[in-house]
Amino acid sequence: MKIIAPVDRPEEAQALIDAGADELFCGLSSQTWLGRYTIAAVSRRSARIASMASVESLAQTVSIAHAAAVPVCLALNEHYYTQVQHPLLFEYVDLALSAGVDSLIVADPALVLAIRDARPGIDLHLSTGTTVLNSSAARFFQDLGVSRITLERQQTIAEIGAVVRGAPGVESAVFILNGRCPNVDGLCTYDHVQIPGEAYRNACMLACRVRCHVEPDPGDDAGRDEYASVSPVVRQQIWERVHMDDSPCGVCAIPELSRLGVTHLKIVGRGNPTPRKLADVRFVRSLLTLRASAADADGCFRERARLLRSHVYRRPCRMVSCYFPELIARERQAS
Amino acid sequence: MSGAGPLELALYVSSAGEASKAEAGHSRLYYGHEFCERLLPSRAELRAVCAAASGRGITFVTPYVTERGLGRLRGLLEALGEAHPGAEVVFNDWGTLRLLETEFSGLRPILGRLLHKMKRGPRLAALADAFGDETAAYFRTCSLDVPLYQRFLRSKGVERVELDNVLQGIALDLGTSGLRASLYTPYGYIATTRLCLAASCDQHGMEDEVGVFGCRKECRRFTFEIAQHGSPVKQYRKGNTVFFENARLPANLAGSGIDRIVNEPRIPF
Repeated sequence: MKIIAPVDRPEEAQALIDAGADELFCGLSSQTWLGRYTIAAVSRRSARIASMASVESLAQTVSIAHAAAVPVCLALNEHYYTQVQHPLLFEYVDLALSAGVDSLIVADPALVLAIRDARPGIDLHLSTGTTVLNSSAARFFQDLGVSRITLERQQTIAEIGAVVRGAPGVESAVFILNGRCPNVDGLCTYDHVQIPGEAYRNACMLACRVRCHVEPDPGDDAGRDEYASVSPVVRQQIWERVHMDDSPCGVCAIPELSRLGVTHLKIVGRGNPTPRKLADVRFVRSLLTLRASAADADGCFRERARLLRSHVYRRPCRMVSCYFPELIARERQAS
Repeated sequence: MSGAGPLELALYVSSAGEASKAEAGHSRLYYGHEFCERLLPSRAELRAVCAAASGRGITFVTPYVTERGLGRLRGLLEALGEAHPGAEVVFNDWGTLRLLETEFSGLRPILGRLLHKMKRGPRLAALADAFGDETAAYFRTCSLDVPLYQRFLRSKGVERVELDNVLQGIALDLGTSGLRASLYTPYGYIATTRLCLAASCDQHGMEDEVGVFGCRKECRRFTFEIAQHGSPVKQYRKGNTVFFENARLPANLAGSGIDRIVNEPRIPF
């Protein structure tokens, strides 16, 4: 399996490759776009630190990566673009292509069709923003010319296996670190705005991170049970606290994902500080190396992976921040 | 401008009993589940609703689905095709559209409200206009206004799309595509998850056990109200999905190609 890592600046590229990244992905900031569409981002990240600052920076990054035979993919993964945006969008695409990017990450089926029509031959990777949960959906997009599908985060290992087995010939990427959204990414229509400042005062927090006040269903006596009024609140508070910030992780599943034929592991983290990006890549690389060099049972691998995670991130493994919590649940049942 | 025809009224029902009591003004019934494959009806329940429709049109709504859910859906579509040939099927998963296209060409696919991605977070009602005309226009439409996409959908047999009654207003241009739109009211969906916070929510000690686990359909018992800074309306978490409420219809229904209103007597869950 190959590692896909986020990059935001040319200065990061070589270090990420040296750390073990097989492929890089990034955004590209566009002042023209921001001037016209403001909080309606071009690639799911309004913050400037989460994208290349200029096409020159992108070209420089691509040059460094290509010298090491590492491809660079540009995120163009907003959930939708309207017809009036397409001319500016294609200017943006052409700039990225002129900088040498190898592929585009797209989420909007209309954009898939438009690129296929106007710029045939571009390698297209489907974003998790499109939501592929079954092999029929994977084949639908394979028929449209998509070469790789980033699978939805909220799938069990068994469900991922069903998609991969049912759609041979298309690459599959699975998130392995960071950014475990509370909702199905492609089926969440909250605005994805996170910009501090007076004008944005209602939008400084991602809209999905909201407090939950529980109200029993008046039609059902069970809803008045004291447990019902406590547990969901506690659960919501745990969820708010950890879902973005607690380093969600899925490395325990590396053996299973490898056996299923998953081709790529993706690290979330556009906008993260460089040391964090490097630590993430080194962490996943070391585990892939461990897996390749030792024929340990899955349980032994998991034990080593958790020890390493604890050492690197100083955080315990928790079900709520695990990409594949069924592994922990299975162990709890066994014990 | 889309020049939509006369307004059709549809009713979202949850059982055959409700279907049989539908008022005469509703010429179509919506039935099924859009948000959780575990809540899809049985074949017998689907047949019963079809039988209770009494000459009304049937629109079977379907959720996003895993491989297992798709298998279950196949059986339901077989039953629907037998009980109500030519029925509409709202797909909220591209895999379902492929299934309809390859195995159930007699059923009529409709693009569901989960697939067009128009933003629905209620704080947009205030935010959209604060950032200029082009930003506001973006949030009032979606990529269904792209002619190439419209033609693609038509080529797949899709003649209708489903919209939520978003608070920031709708200005969707379906052009001369031949596509028509339905508008759901008063409940619109905002976001849905497979990490259901309702599952086992009445069990102490399981607060951190959030994942794709089994459940006892606790969603049927509890409704959570969500308060959000900047949101002009209440939000509701019902099961794995968050909804908003907006009963005020937009003024320009025909201008956005809307020729059907889908009345939801309760949160459609």
